[in-house]
Amino acid sequence: MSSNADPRALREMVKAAQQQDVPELDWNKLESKLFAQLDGDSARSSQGDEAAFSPVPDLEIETVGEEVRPSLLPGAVAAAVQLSPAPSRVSPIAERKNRFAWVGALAVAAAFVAVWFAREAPQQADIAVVSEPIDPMKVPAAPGMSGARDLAALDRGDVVEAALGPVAFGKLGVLEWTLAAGGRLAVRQALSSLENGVENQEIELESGSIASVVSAEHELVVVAGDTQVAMVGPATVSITRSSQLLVVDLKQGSASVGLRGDRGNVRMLSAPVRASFSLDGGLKFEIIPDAPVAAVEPVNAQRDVPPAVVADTTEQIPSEAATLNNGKRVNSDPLNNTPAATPGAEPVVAVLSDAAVSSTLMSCLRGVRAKEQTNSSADVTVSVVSTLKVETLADGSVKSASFSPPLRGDMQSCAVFLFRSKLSGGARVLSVPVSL
Amino acid sequence: MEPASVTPLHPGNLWPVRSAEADEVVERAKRGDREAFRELFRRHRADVARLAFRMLGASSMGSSDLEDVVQEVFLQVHKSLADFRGQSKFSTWLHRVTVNVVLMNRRAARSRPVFAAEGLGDHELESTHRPDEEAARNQRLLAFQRVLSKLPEKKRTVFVLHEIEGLAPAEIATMVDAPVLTVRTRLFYARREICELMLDEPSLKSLSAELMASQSKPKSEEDQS
Repeated sequence: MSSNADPRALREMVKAAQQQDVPELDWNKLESKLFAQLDGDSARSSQGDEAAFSPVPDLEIETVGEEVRPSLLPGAVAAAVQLSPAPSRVSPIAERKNRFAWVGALAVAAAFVAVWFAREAPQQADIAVVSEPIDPMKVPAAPGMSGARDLAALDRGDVVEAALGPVAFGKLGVLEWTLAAGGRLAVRQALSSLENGVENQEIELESGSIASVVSAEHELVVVAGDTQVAMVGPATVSITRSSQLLVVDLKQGSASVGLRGDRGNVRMLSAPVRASFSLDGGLKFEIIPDAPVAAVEPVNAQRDVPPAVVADTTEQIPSEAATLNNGKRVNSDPLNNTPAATPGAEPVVAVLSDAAVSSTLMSCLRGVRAKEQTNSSADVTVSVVSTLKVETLADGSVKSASFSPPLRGDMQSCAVFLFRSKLSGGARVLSVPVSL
Repeated sequence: MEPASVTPLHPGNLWPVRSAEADEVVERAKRGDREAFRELFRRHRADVARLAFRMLGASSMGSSDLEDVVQEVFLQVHKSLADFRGQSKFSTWLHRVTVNVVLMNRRAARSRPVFAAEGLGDHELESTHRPDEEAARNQRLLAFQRVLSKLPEKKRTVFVLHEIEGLAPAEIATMVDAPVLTVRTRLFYARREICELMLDEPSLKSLSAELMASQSKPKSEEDQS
C-alpha cells in the first residue's frame, strides 16, 4: 500500500482549486473604502511640510535584481505588512539617496539615515524623523481646562514634541493627556465623534511617556511600533515607550493591548496593573511587579531594564476584576505555548466577572463598527443583534464561545479575549446579549 | 508602439497582458493621477482577490476578510507604486505585494482562535452525506484546503503560485526572493507532503483510491483480452 496519494488525485484537486469560484465582493463599497482611506492619507501628507515625504515613506523599496521589492524599513509606522517573507534587509544609503533624489533632499535623507542608525531597535518609528512638530503654544488653550492645549485642534499627522517640558492636551470631560518631557508623538486620528457622543483619538507614541485620563465612554488608542493600547473610559493610564518595550501602567479602568489595527486579538488589562509589551503587537509581555515605572529607561537610553519577575505571587493575586495578575510573570503567548521564563511559574490567566465580559466585548464591537463607519462613505447605519454564549469548565476556563446568530469574522474576533481568561462561577453557560 | 507581451498562460493564470496602454496607466498612477490608480484598481482587483482567496484558503475566510486583504494590497500598492520601475511586469510586482499581504494576514490570523459560525462549520458539511457531485466536490475542496493549510508557509506559497496560479518558478523566485532552484525544491517537497497529507483526509483518500482503481481496471481488462 502506498503511503502517498495518487498524484492524479493531486492534479484533480489542483484543477478543482483552479476552478473554484472566488466570492463575489462588493466592489463599489470596497473602492469607496479604499479611496476614502487614500484621501485620508493624502490629507495627512499635505499637512506635513516639505521635509515630510509625500507619501510618508513608511514603505520603502529595496532593489532586488532588476525589479524593486517593497520592504519595510525597520520601524515602519503604519505598514502592517512586511513585503518580504525573508527578513528585511537594510537598503544601501546610496540607494536611498537616489530614491529620494527627486525631493532634492539629500540632507533630509542623510538625517533620516543618521537617526535610523542612532536608534537601537528596529521597531522605531520613522515618521518622527521626517515630520516637524507643531508649536504647542500656537494651539489654543483647552476650554475649561487649566494648563492644557485644545485637543480638538490637533489634526491627523500633527506631531507633538515635549522638547522643553511636559505638554498637555485635553478636552474637558472627554480626554486629556500629557506628554512627558523628551517625548514625542504623532496624531494618527484626530479627536472625532463616534455614535452617542463618544469621542476617540488615536496617537502614535514615538518616544517617551504619556499620561492620560480618559473620561467615561470616550476612547484613546495609543500605538507604538506594532503594538496598540486601547482604553475606553473611565481610565487612567501612563504609557512609556522604551527602545524595545512598551510599558503600560494602568491605574484605573481597563485597556486592551494587541496588534495595531486589530481590536479582536487583544490582551485585556484591568487596573491596577503594570505590564510591559514588546513592540511587535505585544506578542511578548510581562507583568511588572511593584517596581516603579521610572525604572524603565527612556527611549534614548542605552539599554532597557527588563521588568522584574516575582517568583511566587499567590498572595498577590488581585481581585477578580483584574484580568492579569499583578506581580506575576505570565506566558508570553498562551496560544503559542511559549514557555514562561520563570521556572516553575504557573501561567496566570485572568478571572473575569460577567460584567467585565460584557463590557469588554461591547467595547471591542463598538470599535470594530466605528472603524467600519469611518472607512465607509455610505450613509447607512447597521444594527447588530446577537447573543454570545460562553460555555465554561469547572475551573472557569472557556470551553467554547459562539455567537447566535453568527456575526462577521472581525466582530466575532472580539470574543477572542475569553480564551485568555477565566470566568467566575465554575462550569456554566453564560449568555451575553449583544446589541449595537 | 511597443508590442504587447503576453504572460505565459496557464489554466489558472489569468493575469492581464502587459501592453503599452497598461504601462501608461501605471505611469500615470505613479505620478499621482488618482483616476489612473482607480483604473489600476478596477483592472487588477479581481486578480488580486482571486490570488488572495487561493492563498488564504476558501474555508478560512469570509468575503469581508477577503475585502480587507484586497484593500490592504491596494493601499500598499499606492504607497509604493512610485518606486515601481517598470523593469518587470506590473502584475509580477502586484503578485508580490499580494503574496506578502496575504502572508502577513495569515501570520496574524494564526494566533487567533477560529470561531466557527453556527451551522457553517466544515465538520458539519463533512458529515453531511449528500450524494450529488457538487457536495462531494465541495467536501474535497475543503479537505484540500485543510491539507494546504498544514504545509509550511514557504512551500504552500510556491505551491499555490505555481500549481494553482500557474506562475513560472522564475517569476515566483523574484516574488519570494529565493533562487529558482530553491523554488523548485520547495515545489517538489510541497507536492510530496501534500500527497502524504491527502491520505489523512478521507474524501481525498477515497479519490486517490478511485483513481488507482480506474487505472488498474483497464489494465486487468487488457490482460484478460
